[in-house]
Amino acid sequence: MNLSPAELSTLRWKSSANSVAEADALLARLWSSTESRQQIGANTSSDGSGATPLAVRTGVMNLVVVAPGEERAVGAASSLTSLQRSPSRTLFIVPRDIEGPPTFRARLEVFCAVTPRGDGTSACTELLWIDASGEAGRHLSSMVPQLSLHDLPTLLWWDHTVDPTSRDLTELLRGVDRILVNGAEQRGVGIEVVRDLILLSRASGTAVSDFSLIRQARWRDAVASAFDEPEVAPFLRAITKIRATYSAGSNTSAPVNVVKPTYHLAWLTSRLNARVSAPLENRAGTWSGAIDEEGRSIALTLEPVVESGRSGTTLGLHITAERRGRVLELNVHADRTSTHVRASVNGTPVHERTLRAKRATDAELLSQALELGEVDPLSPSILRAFAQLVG
Amino acid sequence: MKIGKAGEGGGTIRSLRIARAGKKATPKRSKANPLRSGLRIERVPDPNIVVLFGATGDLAHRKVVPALYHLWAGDLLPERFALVCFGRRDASDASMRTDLRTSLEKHARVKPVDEARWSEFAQRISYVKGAFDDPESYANLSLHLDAIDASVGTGGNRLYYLATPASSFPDILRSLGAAGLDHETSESGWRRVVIEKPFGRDLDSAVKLNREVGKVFRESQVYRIDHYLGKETVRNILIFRFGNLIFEPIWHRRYIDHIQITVAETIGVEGRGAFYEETGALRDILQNHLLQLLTLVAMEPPATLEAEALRDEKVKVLRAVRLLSTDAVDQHVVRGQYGPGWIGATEVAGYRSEPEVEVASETETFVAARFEIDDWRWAGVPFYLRAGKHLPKRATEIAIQFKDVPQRLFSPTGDAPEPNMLVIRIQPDEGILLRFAAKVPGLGTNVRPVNMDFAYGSAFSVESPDAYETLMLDALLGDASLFTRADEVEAAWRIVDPIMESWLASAEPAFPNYAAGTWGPEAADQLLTREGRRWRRL
Repeated sequence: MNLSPAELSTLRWKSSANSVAEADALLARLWSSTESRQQIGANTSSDGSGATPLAVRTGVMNLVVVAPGEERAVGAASSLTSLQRSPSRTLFIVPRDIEGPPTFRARLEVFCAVTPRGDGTSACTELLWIDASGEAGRHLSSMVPQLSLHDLPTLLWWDHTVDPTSRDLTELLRGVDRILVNGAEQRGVGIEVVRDLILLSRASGTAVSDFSLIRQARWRDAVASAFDEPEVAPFLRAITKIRATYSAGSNTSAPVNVVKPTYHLAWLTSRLNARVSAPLENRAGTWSGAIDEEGRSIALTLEPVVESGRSGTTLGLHITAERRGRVLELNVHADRTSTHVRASVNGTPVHERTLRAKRATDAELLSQALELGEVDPLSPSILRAFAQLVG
Repeated sequence: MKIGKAGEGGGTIRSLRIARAGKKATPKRSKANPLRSGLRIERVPDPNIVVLFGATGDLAHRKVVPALYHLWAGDLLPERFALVCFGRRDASDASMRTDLRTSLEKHARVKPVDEARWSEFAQRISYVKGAFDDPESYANLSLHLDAIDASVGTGGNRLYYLATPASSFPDILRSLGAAGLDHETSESGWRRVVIEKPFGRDLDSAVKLNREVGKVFRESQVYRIDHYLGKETVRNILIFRFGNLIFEPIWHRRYIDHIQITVAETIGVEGRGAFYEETGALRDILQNHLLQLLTLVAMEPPATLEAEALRDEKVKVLRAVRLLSTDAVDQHVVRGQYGPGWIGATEVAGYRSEPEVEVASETETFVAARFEIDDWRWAGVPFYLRAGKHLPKRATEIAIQFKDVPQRLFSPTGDAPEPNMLVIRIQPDEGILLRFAAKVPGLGTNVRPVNMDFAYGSAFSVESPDAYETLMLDALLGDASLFTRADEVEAAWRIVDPIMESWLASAEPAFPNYAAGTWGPEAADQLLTREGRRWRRL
């Protein structure tokens, strides 16, 4: 599990520990004396004043990455290298050999970069690569709080399938501010797992961020932009049908994760301030449900399309609205670089626009998730609607 | 309070008042789109045409067009958008696009320029040749705009951007009015005008200019742009003050000793000698940027963040600034001009040796002033303002110096604690610093000041938009809160006028009186030292 030094500025200090207490003590000692901070800072070129530059740890956040294997952990670390600001401390935890004896081994590293202040000061970030075997790997909640820096928000990136029934996850959520998952990578159809996680996190007061939801920002921009148009705007309160089509992949017998298209429905449900009147129900791959907006029923459909793309990916979003005998058809789809919106009223095109919006990379998504901090204006209401839609 | 229809013996009180004044009300803005809630932008501009006067000039190429391009590239402009460049030179649509593309290469905030985005944007650019005072040119312009409205569907919404020398403003404004291009109705769409500073050269000329503007446009249609107010950290002053409970109770004469506001530049006049000869530091920086910062620091909390509420409070501050009598100016204001010196290990010439500058120029490149605000919150608290060119460091900041603790408990056994200081750094290295006393570890009771330092860069990785992008988008959205109102401009000139009058009446100043690369004339230090204070070392 090595990162090349070039990827995360420069490696200034490293050590190892065989217990949580030892790791904690080694790192605490590192920052407690001016001498050791100067030693870490000494790798930088001096500003010419003769003073030895100091190193300081960034005061951003704790990031806990739980990955199913080394490769994923290194992948996650690579995403960190492209962030504009680094977490103060990152724990990469790879639980392994669950049936083996309980062991804890940690490699500790401090990477620093010279700040642009001009005085040679280095800003540093700590990486803790943790191998937790046996029972230790099943009790992450026993190590994460001890190894987290006090008074900084803690983000748990669960780069793994989620088991919302796990006692350890429940405990872990009580000690972190936000959990970051990828709903589209959960088992089966995915939506029940995400719903259970939403309910679990609600109980512990932990915020949930989902890469799948963050990734859809460009779709939301596209749909919203259509309803900015004066010809389209009056139809917003006259929607009768919302249909999302998604890729069922080429293997039609395997269950398809429908978290992504469900998020579209959840977003619109929350923005329209609608009530779920019939949760989504699966009939041969097509999911149907209904919401109620001020007494008007809106039919919801998730429709699979057999094609060679990545299964579960949204292919299109289609909104129908009827107002005073006129029918609006709004169709949105996206490709790697853009989203495309087309609206017609009674068959006559009234709006067409291509919005440039690249599909976000994992690093960009992580960056956005980190920037959400403790305040996310969008997710809570969407997640609430999502849980209601799943039933 | 609805009491009937305007023009039919009734109407809202507002529409009646406007109708009585011979003006029509601004068309209602469309209802908010709830789908935008929580997205990166909560409202988008209506379809519109930006008409750029002075399109071949430096400002248009350096700032205005790059800002519009970035808004377009960020999908923040409506699809039905057009940019009409109006200028005196011979040019075609194609040559204008080529020229702007060349400039964009140099001035774009995000490089490389996205060719696909540029191509879409460029299709929306057209050029109309005309003289600023020629009625026929405006008739052509009007036809051109109508044609775009019809073909693109821009709904008659127009933003006139005056990126021209101030001397052209009256001609352009008069001509727009004469051609009926100012008329705003719910059928014809909105009409707004953006005016670049300087807003006059003194109070008289500002009043005249405002009068010229007011003959054609209602105040609600006018957007006077001071790009300083679009800077992220300047806007954050309001959030800092009114979004945090802990500071406001101590933001008061009872706890604050004095306030320093500094705008220091390392650059000189950068080839703009002729312009600077006409303005000087007092007009160029103090009258607008420094006084704007002062209003943001000193204003009372507005009832809402709506433009009028915000600007009302700023105007109240300016009106409460004690005006200096011409006799008192020498005591409270220091002017300076740089001579030769060294900046960043490079030798630089004195101001009088700059191109287009008179050899015996009396233009000030440095100004420092002491003001007081006569209201209940600030009575007796001096505000020290300074701005200068060719100073040792580029820095803009507001420093709030708190008073001493009432009893020096620790002085018998150690150092007396330094009073607290709060510094809002605007540029570079934007952030906020709080200095407070802490015990030096050890057996004694020694006290030292320590800094709690917050840097924006460490907390947010989001790139800030250019101030022009922020302000342009606001103008297109009809949000005037970051633009200067006519009475605000006049109130600021009312503060500055006595200083200019005093300087005109006094003997020739002993310029140059500071070397480039130093912190200005010694008299600027004395402004504070005689009161037992000193400028903060930057």
